[in-house]
Amino acid sequence: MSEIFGFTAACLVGLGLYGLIVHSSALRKILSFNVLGSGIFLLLGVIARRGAAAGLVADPVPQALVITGIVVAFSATALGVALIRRLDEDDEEEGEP
Amino acid sequence: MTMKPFSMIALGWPMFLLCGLLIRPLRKWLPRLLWLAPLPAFILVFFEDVGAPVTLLLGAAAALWSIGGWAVPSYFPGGRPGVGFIACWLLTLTGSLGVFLVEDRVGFLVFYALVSLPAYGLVVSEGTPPARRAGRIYLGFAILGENLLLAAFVILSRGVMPLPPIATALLIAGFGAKIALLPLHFWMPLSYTAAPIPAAAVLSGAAVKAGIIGLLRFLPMETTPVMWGGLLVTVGFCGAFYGVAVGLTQCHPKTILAYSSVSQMGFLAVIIGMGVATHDGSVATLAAFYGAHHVLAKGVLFLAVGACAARPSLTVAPAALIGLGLAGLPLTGGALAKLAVKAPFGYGPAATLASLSAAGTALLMTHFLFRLADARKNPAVSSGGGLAPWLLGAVACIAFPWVALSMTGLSWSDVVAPVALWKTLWPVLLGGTAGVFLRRIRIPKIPAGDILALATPAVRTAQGAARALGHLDTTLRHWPVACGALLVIVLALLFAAWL
Amino acid sequence: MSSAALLILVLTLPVAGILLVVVGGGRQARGISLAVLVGNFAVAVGIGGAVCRTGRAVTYSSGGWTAPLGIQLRADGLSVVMLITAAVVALAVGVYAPNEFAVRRGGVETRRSLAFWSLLLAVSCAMNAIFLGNDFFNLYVALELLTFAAVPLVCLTGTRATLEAALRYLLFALTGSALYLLGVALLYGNYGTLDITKLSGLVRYEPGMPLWVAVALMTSGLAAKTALFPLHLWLPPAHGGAPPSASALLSALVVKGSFFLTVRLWFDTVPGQAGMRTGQLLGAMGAGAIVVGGVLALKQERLKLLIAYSTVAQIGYLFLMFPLAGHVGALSGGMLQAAAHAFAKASMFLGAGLMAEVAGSDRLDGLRGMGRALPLTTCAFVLAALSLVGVPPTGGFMAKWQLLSAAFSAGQWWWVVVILCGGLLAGGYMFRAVRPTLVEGIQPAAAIPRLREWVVLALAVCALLLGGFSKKVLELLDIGRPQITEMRP
Repeated sequence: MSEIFGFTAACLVGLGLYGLIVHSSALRKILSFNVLGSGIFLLLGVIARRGAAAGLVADPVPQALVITGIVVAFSATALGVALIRRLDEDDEEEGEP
Repeated sequence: MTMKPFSMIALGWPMFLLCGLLIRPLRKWLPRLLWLAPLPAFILVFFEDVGAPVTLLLGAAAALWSIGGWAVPSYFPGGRPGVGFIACWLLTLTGSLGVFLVEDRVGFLVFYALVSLPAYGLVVSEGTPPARRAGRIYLGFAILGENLLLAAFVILSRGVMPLPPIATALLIAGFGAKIALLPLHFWMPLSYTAAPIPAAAVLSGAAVKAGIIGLLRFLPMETTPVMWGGLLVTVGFCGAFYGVAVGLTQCHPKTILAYSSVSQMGFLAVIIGMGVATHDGSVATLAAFYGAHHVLAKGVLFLAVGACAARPSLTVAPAALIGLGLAGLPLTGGALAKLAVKAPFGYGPAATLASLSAAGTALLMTHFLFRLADARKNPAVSSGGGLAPWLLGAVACIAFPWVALSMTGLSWSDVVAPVALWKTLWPVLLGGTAGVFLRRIRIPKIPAGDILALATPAVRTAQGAARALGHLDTTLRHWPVACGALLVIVLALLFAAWL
Repeated sequence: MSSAALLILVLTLPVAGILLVVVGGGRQARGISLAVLVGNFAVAVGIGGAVCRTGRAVTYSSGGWTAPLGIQLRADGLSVVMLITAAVVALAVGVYAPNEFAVRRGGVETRRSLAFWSLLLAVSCAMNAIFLGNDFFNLYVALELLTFAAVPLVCLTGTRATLEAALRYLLFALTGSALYLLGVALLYGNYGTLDITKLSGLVRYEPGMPLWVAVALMTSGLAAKTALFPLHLWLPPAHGGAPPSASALLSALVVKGSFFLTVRLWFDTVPGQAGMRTGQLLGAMGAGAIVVGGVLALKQERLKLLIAYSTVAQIGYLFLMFPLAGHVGALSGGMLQAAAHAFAKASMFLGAGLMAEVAGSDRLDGLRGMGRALPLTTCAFVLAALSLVGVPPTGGFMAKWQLLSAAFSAGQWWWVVVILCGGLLAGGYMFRAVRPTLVEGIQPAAAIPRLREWVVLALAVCALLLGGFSKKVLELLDIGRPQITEMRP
């Protein structure tokens, strides 16, 4: 099971990186960053599972990392979106589409 | 930084005067007090044992800084140079005296930077485009020298024995940039022509000797491999003759003096090289004696250029005595200096070349004297200021070698012996006669800074490279390129670590 | 108070300050922030005193939980030097900034003022957390906190150009931190701990592919955040466009945060194991930064862009310590450079701000006559430039001395060439920045409070003194270092 999750995580990371490189629109870049982030969180989930395989019920530390990481990624997204909105407002004031 | 307590006072005093610039009422008086700044260092020479070479060079340098400082007000409207000029003067002075007094390596680099970098302010103080160009080139060389020496000193302080050849090469290149060894010489004519006369005087006389003391101190004659001595002798002789040759094509008396400095410093490098080649440590004192005479002679000759418009009669004749003295006119200080360094040359081809270079100096000095005599009518060259400092300097320059003669191991009887007189006289006669004949020939003009004119292709290449780097930067700053580079770096790091 | 409690205090004090600023509003922001920054400086000095006195690193396990479960704070010599540097720079920016971000008496309170002061404290807090952190995930959080504080600083003025620069900075920094986090996840997966001390013990016995993947990911991510060439795309517009007090913070401190983490990773976690090539690769990027940054700085026409490109070049020196790792002088040279650059660059950006205020723009050819209009600032400018060029006896010189000494003892002469070329380029671009200020010219009369000029000068003097007291700093840097730094495969 963890192999599938691990593979998915790797795919998500790859997709995210690809998106970050090729998209020129900032909003898409932020979405790509979130995909990339999800991949990493999934990876941490897999790691928590592997800790469980070593005898623990489930390793709690990676889970704590995921939760913290989600908060950080959320804040980053919020900050990025705020900046994009300011730029859009600017565009509208200048009368551009 | 380590130094003796009295040295600290000697170097603290000009810094103290510098602080006077911060107090507005004092600012007005400071230009008139500049001659006081090097006095503690001058007094120190007489009762502190700092070794013969340092005593000679420091004494002469402090005397020249004092005379030059006295001359400063007469060269500026209202007797008041700008605050920047005063600050640069005092900083350069502190560095110039400090390199002789400081005992540790890092301290030496500090004072060496102090004698090199602020002098930029002295070179550009007239603010004309040629002065600014000269200043840029001067500063470039100062920073280059500083960097080379930094690398050399780092190796020195690792204490590896024997010293790796690269360290010696860096030392010679670093100090060579300061004393204008060929081919690092072209900043010198530009800067000394651009600088106001008192500044040119102290820079050419006192400040360059930082390079000489550096060579004497960090290339000990007893231990440095003979090969480097040979190199110094070769490069030095090239400089000695090259300076004369290009100097003859110049018109401005200051430029001629600057080329004479290139030539004289070359000769001094030859003396040091002879000491290294023979592993004879006593040559250091002789080199210092020669250098000390050059401090005063070159310094006051610059003052002669300024003073000549005021009283030509009181200028040209003493200048002739000092100028031809540099070539070794018998019974002048210069002759003593030449006799003192006779010994290391022996009787071989080096001795002949030395005599020929003296003839060259006489030739160049004759050319200078004619130009000096012409300059009295040209207010753009000679403003007619600083007559009294010039006269005092001339007296000091003629008297000093006689006072210090005992330090070289020569006696009076050696000096006045007919053989000795003839030995120094014939190059002067030869050169002087040639100089008089040369006046009738038109010599093609070479722009000051000679080989700098050849640097244009190099400059163009550098500009091309800079433009290419600019394009590279623009490309790398595209988002997909930078992101791609990031991934490439990940893989490269992984690859490098894994292998 | 026990010295371990000081570690907590230095983190909580700025946070408390931010909360108070939010409660007190823009009018009280300045007073509260300055008080907090003074306190922050005092605590940093207190930690330094404690480390010096005991000669050992000070540690604190939060909540009494030890690693791997708990999070440990640890202050060794490196942390202390950077803590004090950051505290001094932040305090100086705080003292300098009021005119720019003050709320006038009776005037309308602006969002800008509130934002600036809370961001200043946030940067301060995040820097402290980075310097004290001993756990890679904890450090990730601190790093993100730093980025989130730094990005809005770029666009405080709200112009379109700065907004774009901020967005670009944010996106690239996020990419970098994603890579870093991926590396952290791999480290945890492989070793089951993220505590630096524990990890350094584990990786010695079982290095392997996962470790190097993690290290490569983390290093590149951090390099992206440090704007190491060729990843510097975001730095010139961000640092060149931000208001001067923000630029000073960004250039002097923020880039040092991710750099410091790289040092922790390479010198504390995997010391002497990465082999020759990785170090050479990092060094080569540093060399590229020195050359390209230097040449680009030479080409700039605007003072702030020139200083920003000089930051690109100076960051290059920091990365020369990696190929020389294990030789005496590499670590100390890099850290001295980080501190000296922080002081000198902060002084330059703040000084450039004052000059732009007087001249109305920061074009180089408009700076004539500054020597007369702002003598103290010009003096500071010259001093800071000397330190960046590496003229003795400044801090920049001592840093170069150490790096050169390490390069010679490693027998890697090519870094010597790079350092010397960098010195010449720095001489050139700093000359371009300084020369117009020293030329005679006429500047419009502007009333610049003397205090602000003195702050700029004080920072430059700090860069100078760092050279004078370098022996003490070098001793301090050695405290609490692991003993395995000499190992090389």
